[in-house]
Amino acid sequence: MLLDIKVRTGSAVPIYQQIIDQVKRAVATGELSPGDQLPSIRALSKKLTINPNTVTKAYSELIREAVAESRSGRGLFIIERVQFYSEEERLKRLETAIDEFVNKIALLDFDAKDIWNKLRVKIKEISQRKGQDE
Amino acid sequence: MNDNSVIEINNFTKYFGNNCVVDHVSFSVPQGSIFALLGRNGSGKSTIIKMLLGIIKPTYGSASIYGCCSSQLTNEIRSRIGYLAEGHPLYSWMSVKEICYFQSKFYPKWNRKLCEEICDFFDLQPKTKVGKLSRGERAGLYLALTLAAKPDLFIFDDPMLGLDPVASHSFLEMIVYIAENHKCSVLFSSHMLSGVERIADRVAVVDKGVLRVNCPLDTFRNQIKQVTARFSQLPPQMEKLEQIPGVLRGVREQQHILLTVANYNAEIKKIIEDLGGVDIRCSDMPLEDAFIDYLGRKGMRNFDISELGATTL
Repeated sequence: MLLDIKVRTGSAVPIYQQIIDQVKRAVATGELSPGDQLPSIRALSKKLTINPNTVTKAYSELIREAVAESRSGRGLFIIERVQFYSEEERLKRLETAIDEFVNKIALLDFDAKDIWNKLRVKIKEISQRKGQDE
Repeated sequence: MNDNSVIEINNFTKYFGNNCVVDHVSFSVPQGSIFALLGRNGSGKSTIIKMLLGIIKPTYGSASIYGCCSSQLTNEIRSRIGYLAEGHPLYSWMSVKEICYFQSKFYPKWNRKLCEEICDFFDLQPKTKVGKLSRGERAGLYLALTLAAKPDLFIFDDPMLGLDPVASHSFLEMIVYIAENHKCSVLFSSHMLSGVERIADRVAVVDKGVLRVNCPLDTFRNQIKQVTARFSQLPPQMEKLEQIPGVLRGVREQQHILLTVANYNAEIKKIIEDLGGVDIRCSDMPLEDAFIDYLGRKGMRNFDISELGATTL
């Protein structure tokens, strides 16, 4: 599985976080499945022209959050997802994400109905994917 | 003294006449790190680098490289340092080929092939006189001379100055290549924050000769936040907002305020609440914005920057 990770400088999101977000998103949409391998630290830092420590930091976080695991000598692999956060933490993260989303769209002047429709499609994508896996 | 550092600077201070250009600056560069020295024009970055290399004498303070005092660097230590000087000064009467040969004699580990490859990359003709090169070509040549020496420690003074975007990117690629080999360390000054964001793991910020930040890049970004709040009536006057500890910059607009805050915490949030602010939100900001707000309006307020690792007098 080839995931095309890209980073942007000058963003409010630090580069390591951009990597984490893209990997998580790819897992959520099914672009990455359990068993898929992530590029090596050296390869990714070279490809993105970033400090290898930044990739290391992103990968450590993915391991910590149980998105991926390191298999000795072979690299980093996506694993079956287990819920890692406590109920409280999950809720908190959901609320933060919703806040960010609402802040971003607040000034775009869309009808609530249009937003709902678009959101419904996206959420369906994720849950369908989950259904297939199970 | 930290065993793990390649550079140690203690209380570097430099007066030119009555003018203090570097004021009690101390920091160390850890082995294997890519250390960015940032600051506005005339903030003292080049003077720090020149004192570090023993090119000019500090008024007081001292420094060491690989444990060897800056004022008495041995040839052995010097051959382990690759220094790229600001503005890429070179002997203009030499040809490209001649200057490569000249330089090679100072460095026992000289890699001729690498030197030629980089010269090729920048399309430098061996017979061209250095004086005839464009600014970008001269920067490329300087880079070749620095990298081919195979140093353990790179000191770059504004290396991307005069490089076009493609050449700047190649330079960053070379730094990533250097960084893979954890034996090498890099100290560089720059104004190109997108490059700094890509490759630096530590940053030091000097302003008017004073060290104001010395910490990992991520810490710097973490500590400087954008905070917004809403007020049911007009927000407090600017003077009130500026008294909040850590506030670097404020914008008032109708019923909202937007603040850039260093070391944002629950206490600061409480102060904003007490002023009548609701819907207080805190978010990350781009490195460049953080940098500009941090240095932009200096001298207006005091706040504790100890968490950012700066030396306070």
